[in-house]
Amino acid sequence: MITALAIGCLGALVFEPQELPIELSPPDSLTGQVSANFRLGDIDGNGEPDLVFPDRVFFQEGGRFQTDRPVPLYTVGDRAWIDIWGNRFYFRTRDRLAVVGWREGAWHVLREQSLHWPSPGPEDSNGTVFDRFVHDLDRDGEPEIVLPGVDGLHLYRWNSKGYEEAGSPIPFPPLRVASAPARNLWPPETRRIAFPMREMTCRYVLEENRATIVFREKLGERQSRYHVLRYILDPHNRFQSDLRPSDEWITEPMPNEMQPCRLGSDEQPAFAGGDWELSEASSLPVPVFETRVSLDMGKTWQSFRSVSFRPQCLFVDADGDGSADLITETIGLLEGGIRESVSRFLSARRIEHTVAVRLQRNRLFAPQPDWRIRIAIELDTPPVRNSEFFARYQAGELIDLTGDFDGDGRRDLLVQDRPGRLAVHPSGPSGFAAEAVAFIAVESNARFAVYDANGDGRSDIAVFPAKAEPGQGSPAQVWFCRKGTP
Amino acid sequence: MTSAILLCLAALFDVKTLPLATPDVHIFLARADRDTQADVFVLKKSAVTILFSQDGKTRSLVLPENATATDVADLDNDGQTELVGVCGDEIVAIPLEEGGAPRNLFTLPTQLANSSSEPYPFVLAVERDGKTLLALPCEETFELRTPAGSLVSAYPLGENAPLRASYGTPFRAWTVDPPRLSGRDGLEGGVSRTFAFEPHLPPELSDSPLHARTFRRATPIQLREAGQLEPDAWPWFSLTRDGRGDMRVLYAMAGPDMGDTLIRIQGYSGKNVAGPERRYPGQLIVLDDGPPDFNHDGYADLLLWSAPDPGISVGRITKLATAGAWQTNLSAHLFSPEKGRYEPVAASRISCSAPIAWFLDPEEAGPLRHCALRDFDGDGRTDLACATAPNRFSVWTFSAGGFDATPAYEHVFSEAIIEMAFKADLAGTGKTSLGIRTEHMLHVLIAPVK
Repeated sequence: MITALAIGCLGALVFEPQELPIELSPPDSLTGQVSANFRLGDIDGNGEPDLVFPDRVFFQEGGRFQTDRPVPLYTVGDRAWIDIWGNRFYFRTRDRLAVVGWREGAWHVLREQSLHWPSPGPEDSNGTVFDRFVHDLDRDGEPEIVLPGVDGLHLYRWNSKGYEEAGSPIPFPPLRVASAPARNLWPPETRRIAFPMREMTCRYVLEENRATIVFREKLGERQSRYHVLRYILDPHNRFQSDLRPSDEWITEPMPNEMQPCRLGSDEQPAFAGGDWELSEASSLPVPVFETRVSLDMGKTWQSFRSVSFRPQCLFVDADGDGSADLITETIGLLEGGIRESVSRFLSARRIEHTVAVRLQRNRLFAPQPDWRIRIAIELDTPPVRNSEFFARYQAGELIDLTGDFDGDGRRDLLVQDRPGRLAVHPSGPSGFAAEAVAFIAVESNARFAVYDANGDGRSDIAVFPAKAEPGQGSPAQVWFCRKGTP
Repeated sequence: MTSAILLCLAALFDVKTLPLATPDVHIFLARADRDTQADVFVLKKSAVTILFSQDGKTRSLVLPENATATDVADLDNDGQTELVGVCGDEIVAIPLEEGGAPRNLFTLPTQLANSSSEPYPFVLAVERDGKTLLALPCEETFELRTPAGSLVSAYPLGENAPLRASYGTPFRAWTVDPPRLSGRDGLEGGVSRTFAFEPHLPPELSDSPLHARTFRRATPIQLREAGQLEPDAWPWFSLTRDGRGDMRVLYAMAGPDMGDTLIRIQGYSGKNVAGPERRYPGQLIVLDDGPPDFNHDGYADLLLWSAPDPGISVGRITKLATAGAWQTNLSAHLFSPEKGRYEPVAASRISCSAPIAWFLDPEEAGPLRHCALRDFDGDGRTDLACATAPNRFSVWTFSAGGFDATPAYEHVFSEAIIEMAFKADLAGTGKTSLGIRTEHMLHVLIAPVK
């Protein structure tokens, strides 16, 4: 077992590795967040979050997970969906709820009862899987259970004896014809009676005593508008809500590729997305990626174009102020004239890549970048060879802006600047450090992801074997970022 | 049409144009007058414009603001069609006269009320026992009513329908983790419901497209992978133009640069097994039109495209990039019923050019855009039409000697082509007419009746 390995040290960034069976998704393009095959929770109450999988727990002691002493997770003898609240596990089976805790080295059933759920239980799933259905709406320490059904969103509250359904379900929008089902009217032999499919798709969000329903209304082939319904839940009246929303907003029409997301520090949804177009300003058509964003329900839009590159994340909270900032990246391959571009494409092994951050202030993104860094990426073969490393570069996988390694609240830049190396450029008030302060040697073409895997407030780096397929169980090398000097 | 440059080398088409104010329009064909020829309808929100294909005249109508499903039908069997539409709970008819005013036929709540923010073409009128009826899906029943609103028959729909159409899981709920809309401490999820049923209808009404025969096609990526699979998994089309027999042409891409096409014939020898694999140079062009029949013998033929290799050097690629376009070679291979296979030697070859960007789009199967493989001159042989530049459209006719080296027809539009809105034999003469949309215009290339 490697104990502590200082890979690079400047500004007190030290990384220590540990092999863990974790899997992480690529970051969401609009929020920069990743999903994981594990949860963190301080199960044993020692102040250090433990690593919880659907079948076992690795307790954390002294900053390391005890992988040699896995503790099997409690089983309810049935297929179950599990959610974690604090140090309690909520097992939802087909018709029961069990709340389980860890005490004095053993699992204990704290509560158990029969419950009728509004939607099919986990009989369709295999084994135990994580889900999210526990939420403390009134912040009284006893979380409520939230589950969607065909007729709406059902809430269950704790009444000192057990969980009971609270009030009427929060209604979902009605079914509508899925899309204008345009049909052929001529010639007569092609006329067909159609029975249009009706559908309803919506998102629901619960925050404190507010429930928000967001759904899209299609307007023709290319445009949509969103409806945002807000319901206020009364914790003193069994979370009863009016069947009519307390507030309702309808956005302006917007292109279909725009998606709702949270980019501000308040609850109002933003709408953002991006699309490619070919710039035909020169005889060589150059693909241009345009990011569009509206922070006022589609009334006004800002758009930013970058040459030939779609960042893996379009938004991250780079400066840590609670509002997402906008990222653009530019490939240096196409700078200069056509002949230089072609020459680089056929022979260059080094690409100059620019990352720019526009900070969000007063619900606007700066027209010019606030932070900008130009980095060199060493390729294994010239672009014309279209190697796996170059393909990963084009897919935006070599640049990550989601991590905060030094714990200062700002996002730092992690770049795989050559096939076998990761480099960390920390950020300061005025942007990214031009020089990397830490390097991690990795297997050539290894995939990586960034996540705070031990819950200490600093991001860690998970490195996955180059040939590993997600879900195949190949352990990741997780480089935990530590305080202090090596 | 003043800004369009017409390079009409043969009178294959009369070109008529219609300005389009917005990009979101429905363009469809229907019969608007008493002749037998189809006319062109354009729905822009509630505005209807009719372009009469015989004389090129236009007529404007306005639908009620809340109109959704819209059809064109001869409601009273007098030989003159009218617009019929669902407007909220009202079913209305509008005479196809300049400024024709809507008249309320009857009131009936249907699933089609408020189904869209704008009108769209939809089959409402059906013929039964020589009379025109209106077919309306309501909440619990599918109803056939006379234009006066009398109920003729009703069939259970909804939960009591005998047939539930499968469009995936009827109810689905999922957790959004990590959240996109909520804060760090919030709980976020998604819900999806779908609801689709079909009634049991009498045979004359039950020709549902759900049950229509479909051919297995493939995306460009699937096509590349098909060659590695067993022939059973290859995409295919019918060997005969009319689909008779169960003879299939299985195809896949092959070669180091996927520049060849593998073909196997299934069912021609009477056995339902794939015949020997044969390789043809070029990539197969497969369109919604179905396969071409260049020699009018009833058997599907092949049209393949290829492009000369520019070679990898800075000078050559720079020259190619500055040229902006590259050569595309097209070759037609005919099916030989005697040999039971496609001829290895192309019956005809032509060359055209296409913008470089069209070669580079991974979502497209080749550099040809806005393509049609139809009979444009009425001789029964399939001809080829496609864009050869963003605003240039060319047509090659196929005769006994094959394709001519130069297009039989070429039209340069004043703006880039966006889509082919329709391709149809408007007058039943065997000649295909085309509707081509540019940003602000609909260009109707009408094949003359004589």
